[in-house]
Amino acid sequence: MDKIKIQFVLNGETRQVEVEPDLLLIDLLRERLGLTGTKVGCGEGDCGACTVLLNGKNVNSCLLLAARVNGCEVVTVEGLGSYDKLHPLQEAFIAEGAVQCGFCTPGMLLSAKSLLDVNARPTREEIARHIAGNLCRCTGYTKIINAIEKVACADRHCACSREAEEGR
Amino acid sequence: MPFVYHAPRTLENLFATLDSLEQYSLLAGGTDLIVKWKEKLIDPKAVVDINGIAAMKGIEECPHCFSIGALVTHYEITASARLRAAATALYEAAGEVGSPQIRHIATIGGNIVNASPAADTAPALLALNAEAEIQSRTGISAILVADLFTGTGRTCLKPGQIISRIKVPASGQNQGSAFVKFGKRKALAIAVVNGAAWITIDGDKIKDVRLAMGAVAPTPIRLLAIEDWLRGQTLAASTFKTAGTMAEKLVRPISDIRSSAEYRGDLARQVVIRALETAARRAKGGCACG
Repeated sequence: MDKIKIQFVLNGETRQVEVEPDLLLIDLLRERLGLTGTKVGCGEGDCGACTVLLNGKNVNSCLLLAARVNGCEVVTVEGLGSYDKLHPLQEAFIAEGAVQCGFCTPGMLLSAKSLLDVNARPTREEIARHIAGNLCRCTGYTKIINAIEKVACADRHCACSREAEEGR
Repeated sequence: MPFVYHAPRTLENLFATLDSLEQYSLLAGGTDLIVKWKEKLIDPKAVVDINGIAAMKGIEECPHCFSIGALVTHYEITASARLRAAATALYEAAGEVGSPQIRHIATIGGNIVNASPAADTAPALLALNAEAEIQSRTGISAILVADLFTGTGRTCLKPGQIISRIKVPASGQNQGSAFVKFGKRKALAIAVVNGAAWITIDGDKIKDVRLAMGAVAPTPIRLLAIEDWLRGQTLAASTFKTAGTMAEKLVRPISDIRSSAEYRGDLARQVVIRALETAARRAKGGCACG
């Protein structure tokens, strides 16, 4: 089977790789390039554990042929922050207790980033709607939404009233 | 079995590629295709990735209509203020498909060609009287989206034919449309029943109307008998209620893992009532999106 040469920007770095026609993006990232932060869950686009950003938008990497990212920009959780300098969303997830088993967290963080990049001040409902494709079986979502809201509020220096929100 | 991958960049190259292949699957968003392939429901010898074809992209506004590229994603539809205002049912349906991740990738052309009886954009396109542009090496023709479906998972497209664009009439003065979906949850739910209504009003009367419904038959369907009855009726809750009862009697849904046939009948009634009410309110309000 002929391999396909692709070039794409991965976490800010231009990469050139040869891929089989039936290689999925998730397998390219995890097995070939060693980026195991992106998780394999259902493999059918239902759980969102495999979420990455494709040209800034959250997508399921388990449903994308690797060949399709030719010429595109891909961001995985490894491109979000580093051990020395966490992304504000990662800081907020820790501070708010939004991480339990952690399996959904990489995808959750990237879905949150794709939302805040286009909507800096989302409502709680908008946050919930935007992470609807990311399943979490531990937290019950409340703390995850709190964490995302915290970053949205910090960015805008707004006085965000948690008491008011809890009434919803 | 692995497949050969083709990625033509123009329609001309696409048709040349299709001509050279014995058997192929077209790859647009891939959110249905890749799942079917993983589950070994399909085993394509060749996958033709059409995502590079510019002629199948973009939302263009023509006089009194929109031309939507088959590769336009559900996300792009939900981001269009013009579609929200003048093709409201489609805007609403696109926002109900899958999840944000799916909507960023999945295309309107794929949603139609996949020919699921429960496809969310289908009832909206039927109610809006949308046409699909069928293109092949030999030329281009148009067909009502309503006439495209021949059975569950089947369309009248022949090998070598593709849908390149979808033409959606724009709603104007005294017109409105609405989409209603019942699913088991708010995201990633295949519709138990969905439906859409388009209405033109004249004072307090219904001048013209189209009603469509999904997941109650092998294909998305128009409810023509109810439309006939509704024309000329007065805009009133009792009219919509009668139309709903007619729908419950008219449709012949099946029982499956998502619902019993009986419950689908109940939902069909509610879908018709709610879709008509909302579409009528929008037609009266002057603003299609209210």
